[in-house]
This record gives sequence, structure tokens and C-alpha cells, in this order.
Amino acid sequence: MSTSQGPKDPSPNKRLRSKRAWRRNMEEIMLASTKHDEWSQKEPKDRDYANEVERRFFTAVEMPAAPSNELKELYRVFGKYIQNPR
Amino acid sequence: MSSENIFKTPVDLKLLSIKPLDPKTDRAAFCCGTTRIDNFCRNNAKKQHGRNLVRVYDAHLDGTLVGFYYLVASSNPPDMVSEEAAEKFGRVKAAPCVYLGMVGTHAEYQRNGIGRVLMLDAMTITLKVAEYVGLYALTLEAINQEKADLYRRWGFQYFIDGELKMFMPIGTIRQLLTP
Repeated sequence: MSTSQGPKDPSPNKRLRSKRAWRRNMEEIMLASTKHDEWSQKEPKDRDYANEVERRFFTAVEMPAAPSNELKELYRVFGKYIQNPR
Repeated sequence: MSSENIFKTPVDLKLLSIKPLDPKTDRAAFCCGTTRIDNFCRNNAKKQHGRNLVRVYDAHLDGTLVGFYYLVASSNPPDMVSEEAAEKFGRVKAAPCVYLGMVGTHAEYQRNGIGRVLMLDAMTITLKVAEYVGLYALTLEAINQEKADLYRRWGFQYFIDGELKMFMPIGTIRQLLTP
């Protein structure tokens, strides 16, 4: 019967070095991040907005509405005349 | 037939050709009935296009200029939101958008759908840009409330209620134009 051994448990020193590297990496990431990064990581609905215009704009851009029926109809009728690719 | 259509020339849209502005095109005869748009088309379009300030796209029928629109990159909104919002637009400090400056159709050829084709063409170009560069929305300023109401039905949204500046998210345009 063959026995397979899993990966060897790293030595305590190695674990410590790995943990330090992870922390250093995290610190670099945090230093590199900006207010915008923190803010934009939140879901649009969970963010603080300065006013209604801002809320409306960001929410619409990040959670875009499906094309309206009138826009779809416009495209159905006139879309075939679009001149792309040029 | 309504009285508005009596003097209009029927157009076969299949013959419509939309191309970037050609400096050789005669623009002097263009007249859509709105002075601001006519003046731009006749006096400024060629110059601004040539200087890379805007990109003008002309619609031709049998060599006649029957319509045009122009696009330009714009930074929106900061003037429409609070100062704190600038931090929220990331490193560019603004929301990158494409601004649809004007859409005009020669008066003789109006009510044939040329303006609608130009609007869809502008959306297509905007979406192409968005495939290569981060872009939030296509923006415009309606020339009057009647046009704003039409754009609203197509899915443009007001930045501020009661004003005519509007935007359509790129995501909506992508859903429309991507099969």
C-alpha cells in the first residue's frame, strides 16, 4: 500500500516570513489606494453622496438601465442605416 | 400627409453616407433652421475639425450635405456636483464622457429619420471609444424642452431636473448596440 504525504507543514520561521511579506504587501496596497479607491469599492447604493445629482449620475453609470422600449424601437427601425465600421 | 411634410424631400436612407468631415465639402448651403447649428456648420465645423478640437461627421445624399453631428471628449460633471465629488472621480478628477455637441439635418430633408440615424451613429462611435478608453456616459444639451423630452424617452437622464443637460450611461448604449 502506498502512502502519499501532503505538503510539509512550513517551519514556524517560514510562516513568520510569509506573514511579514503578506503584511508588507498589504501596506503597499493600502498606501497606493486613494480616497476614490475606497469609495468606489463600495456598492453604488452603499456610498455617501454629496447630493442628488452625484447619486443619480454614479448610480446610473454603474447600474445602467436597460435601453427603453422607444430606444429599442429607434434602433430596430433606423439601426440598419448606421455606417459602421467605417 | 401633414402640412409639415409638403415641402420636404423624401429620402431613401439606404443611400445615406455618413463620414468624417471632408474639408472639400460645401457647407455654405446647409440650413437646418436653427441659427446656432447653422452657424457652426457653415463657419466653425471645418476649422474645429481640422484643429482636432472636435470630430465632425457629415451625412451626404448624392454629394449633398444633409446632416451632421460632432463629438468631443468632455469632463463631467465637476461643475454639476460638489467639490468633494472631485475626489470620487479618481485620478482624473472628473468623469470622462463624450459630448454630442450638435445634431443637425438640412431643413429640406427633415422628418425622414436622418437625425435619428445620426444619433445612433454617434452612440456607435461613443461605444467604440469606450471599448478602448474608460468612459462613463454620452452627454448632450438638448436645444429645447421638446427635444429633451424626446431624449428622455430614449433613456437620456437629466443631470439636474429642470435643465437641459443630459447623459446616457455607456452601459445602456452597450446593451442596445451589442447583440
